[in-house]
Parts: sequence; C-alpha cells; structure tokens
Amino acid sequence: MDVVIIGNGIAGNAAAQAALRHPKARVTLVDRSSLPFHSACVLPDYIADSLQSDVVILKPLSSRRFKRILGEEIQAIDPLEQKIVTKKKTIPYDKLILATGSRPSIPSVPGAGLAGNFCLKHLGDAELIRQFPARKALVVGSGLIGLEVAAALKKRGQSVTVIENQDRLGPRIFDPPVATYVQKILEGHGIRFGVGESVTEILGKNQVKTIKTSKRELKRDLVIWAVGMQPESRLAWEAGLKLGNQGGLIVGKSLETSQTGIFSAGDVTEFPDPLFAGSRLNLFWYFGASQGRVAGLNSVGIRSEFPPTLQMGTARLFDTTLVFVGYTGVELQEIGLSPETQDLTTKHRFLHKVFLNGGLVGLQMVNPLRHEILMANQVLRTPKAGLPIPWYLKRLYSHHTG
Amino acid sequence: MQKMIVTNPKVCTGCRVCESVCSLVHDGECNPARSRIRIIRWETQGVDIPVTCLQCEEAPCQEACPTHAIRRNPETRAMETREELCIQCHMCALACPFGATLIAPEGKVLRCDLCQGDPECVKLCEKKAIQYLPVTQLAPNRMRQAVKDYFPDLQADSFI
Repeated sequence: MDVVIIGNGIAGNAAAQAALRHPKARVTLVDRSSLPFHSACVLPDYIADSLQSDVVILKPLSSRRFKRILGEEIQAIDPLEQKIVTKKKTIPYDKLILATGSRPSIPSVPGAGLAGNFCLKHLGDAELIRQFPARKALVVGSGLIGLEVAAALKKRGQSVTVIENQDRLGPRIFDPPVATYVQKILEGHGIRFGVGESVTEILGKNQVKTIKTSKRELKRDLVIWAVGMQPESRLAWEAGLKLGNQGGLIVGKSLETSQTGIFSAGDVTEFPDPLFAGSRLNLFWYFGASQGRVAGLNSVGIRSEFPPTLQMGTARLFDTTLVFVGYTGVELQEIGLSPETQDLTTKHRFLHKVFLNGGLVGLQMVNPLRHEILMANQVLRTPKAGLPIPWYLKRLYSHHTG
Repeated sequence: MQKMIVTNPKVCTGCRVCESVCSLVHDGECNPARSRIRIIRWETQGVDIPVTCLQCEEAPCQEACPTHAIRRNPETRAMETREELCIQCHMCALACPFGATLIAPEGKVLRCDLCQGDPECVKLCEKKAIQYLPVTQLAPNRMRQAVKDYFPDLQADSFI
C-alpha cells in the first residue's frame, strides 16, 4: 500500500510514523521546501539565541519503507488517477495525506516587498531574521507569535514596538483584563505598544526605513508580520476538494476529506469545534501531531478518530509565563453565548477564568503556580458546559487498578 | 514482558512513603513536592489514592511536546524526558489528562520513569498498594479481587 504525504511538518511526520505501523505500508513524504524537519514552536527562542539549532531540528524518521523527497514542488493532485504531479515525475498513491500547513498572511500594503520585511513561519525565516542587521524593529500583530518574536528581538538588543489593529493584545487568546495586564508587564521590559493601529505604508529606497501607521510615523529598519496564518490549501482546492469558510479542508472525525482516499492533518485542516456551530482552524503543534497520527492510521485502514480538542498554549516572555486554555469570554460572546468571567489577581500573578453554564471552559494565566497549571485539565473535561465527555475519562482507572 | 504500575486504593493507608522515596531516589532529597507519584487524599471519607503516570500508549504529553523531548524507553515502556531537549514550556503538563505530569518548583518536568524498570516506591509500599505487574496479570488479578469481594469469608491466599 502506497501512502503519499505532502508536507514535512509535524503533521506529515506524525502521519508517516503512524502509517508505518501497518507492516505493508510504504510511505513517501514530499515537500517543496528543502528545510529539515524542525519545530516551529521554538523558533522565537532560537532567534533570541537561548536555544541551539540542534534542539530546533528534530530527529527525522528512518525506516526502509519510508522515503523523503524534499525540495520538490508539487504542481497538481489528480484524485481520479490517484497520483500527484511534480516537476520531474508523477508519484502514484493509494492513500494521500495532505499536511501542507499554513502560510503567514501579509496584507497588501505598499512597501511590504522591501528588504527588511519578514514573517516567521519556518527555520529559514528565523535564520534570515537572525542575520538581518537591524536596531529598531516593528512587530505587526500581537498574537502569540508576535509577542514571542517581540520578546526575542528585545533580548537581541533591538528596540521593539508592537502594533495591533484591534483594541487589545492577543485578541484571539486573551480577554481584555489579561491583555492589559500582559501589556503592562511587557512595557516594564521596554517593549512599546500601539493598539488600535495598523500599517498603511512602508517607505524606503532599497530597504525599510519609515513606516506610516494609521496614527503616526515610525523610523524602523525591520518589520515582522505576525498578523495571522492562512491554510495552504490551493493544491487541494484545484483538485476539487471541499474547503470551509476559513479556507481549510473540511474533514470528518476520521480526518478524511470530501474525496475518499485523501486525508488531511494539521494547520490545513478545519475541524468541527466542540462548542461552535461550524468548524475552526487550529494552528497548534499538538493538533498537528495528533491529527497526523489519526490521519496516518486511517490511511492504512486502522480505524481511529480525532477527539474534540480545545486550544491551549504556553509562552515564556522574559521571566513571565503565559498559559491559555480553552475559549476566551469575548469569542463566546461573539457567537451569542453568555459566559461569566472571574478574575483573581495578586502582585505577580493573574488568573482569569471563563465559565459557561457553571462549567469552566476557559483559563488564562499569567505566572501561574504549579498546581494552577494543572487546572487546565478541568477545562478540558467540562461536559456541563456542553462539551462532550472526553475519551480519557472513560478510560481512567479502568486499566489502572488491578 | 511489559510491566506497569498498578495501584490499589482500597489498601493504601496514605503514609506517603512512596512520595518521599521517589524524590529521594531522583533528586536526593525527601521532598513530596518533587515526587513523581502523589497520594490524593479525600480527608472526610478517609480515602487515599496513589496516582502516577499511566505511560499511555498514545501519549498526549508526547504529542504536545514541541521539541520531541519525550520518548518511550524501549525496555521499560516508560515515557522519559530528555533534559537536554526540554525547554520547560510545560505543554506536556497542560496536555496530560490525568495531571500526572508534574512540575517541580523551579520548573523541571517530573514524570514517572519507572526507575529504569525497578520502581522504588513499589519496594517500600508496606501494604502493597502500589505494585509493578506484568500486563498479562492485570485481568486475572481483578477477577480474583471481584471474587473476594463477593465472598468476603474466603481466606484467599496472597493477592500477589
């Protein structure tokens, strides 16, 4: 059985590993970039020089039944003939797994093509940012990547300004009180912020020099775009696969796309959300790892399902730890639910809880204590709020006690 | 043969020797805050339950780890953290459904490594509330326990 995987990220590699569990599966992984398999999550630490590149680059899979083709641009997928077409050859497949990931979106602002404009997606971008001589940086977008890059550049000794076009930091991961608290901490480390501000024009001859925003004019020589990601689903769209509202591939629980025999995993996948009516993109590492495994198993005929999972993440900015799990109050309000929030604050810590129908569905923490981190488990198991009962609760203790 | 740690809450007295010895063996100090096994106590009902890592087959901690620092020891089947790769992002602690991945006060990740196949807590458990058994013995043991519950008069021999 020939399984072909497109994408050399975590989802693709996890899928390859899972598919190889079948003794007769032969797996080919194709990617257009020739970068080694690496961890995208730790790139800000790599930029800040607090990590060596051997931690960033992950150990690749090796097996006699596994082949990796890097640096080969895929031109088309042919679902009827069951083959993919690259520049030099066609590769036939029995099952195809799309793990093409996402690409950073850069708004069409005049001057965004000048030297000094970067985004952070893969190791190549991180190397470019490290090598670019700059003293003053502007980070556009204050999501997780934006904040982490801002802290990393600050550690490299650059002066950093972060601008965000919405009214607060990290609009998708923080509620307003947490955003204000985080902003205050980061301002204490010398990062400047501008909220409700967007870039209108970038000026400069050969490289970035002046940046015009909706409020002011800044002299900067480095711009990092961290305004969000888009699923890399063009190939799938051309092949006639069904896409969702956010541009990702629509899948069922087994991660099979609208075309039988083609599976999807990772950033390119739009998975039904436990609470929201529609499906959502989940651009997180463990979604890639877990969906890759499920897609890989299903592709070789081992039945597996991807369980409903919530977003969660951690970040360390200087000596501050940020943890967020589940939903934010604002996004629940936007879909017409009425969540309640609870804040607990001390001098160095901030704890923000989001409740829905009396069940904990969201948690945002700044400098949490050890046992508070473990509270994340509570968020992931609140059927009271309408979330499905997770699989592991049924398994708990059934095989643990003798 | 693959063995796993099996607990029996019914006989646990909550003495917490396992917590002390675990931290002593791994970190050289008797400090329950650094123990990889924890006794969860329900004070009013007098129930003590030892909880430790279950070494899940499809482990959420492993999938959450961005640097692939967690891997399974092929001999003991324990999920082990490679210190040199761990960046202490604590995603494994967030992802663990059982809260069995713990964090030391200074940030180090604590997870049961089965003491390289010879768990010290098992040796010191006076009441045999923690045992290290081959997986094939688990079901017969439970049958035996069920029979004993049904016939309380049975003077059953050892419960392994």
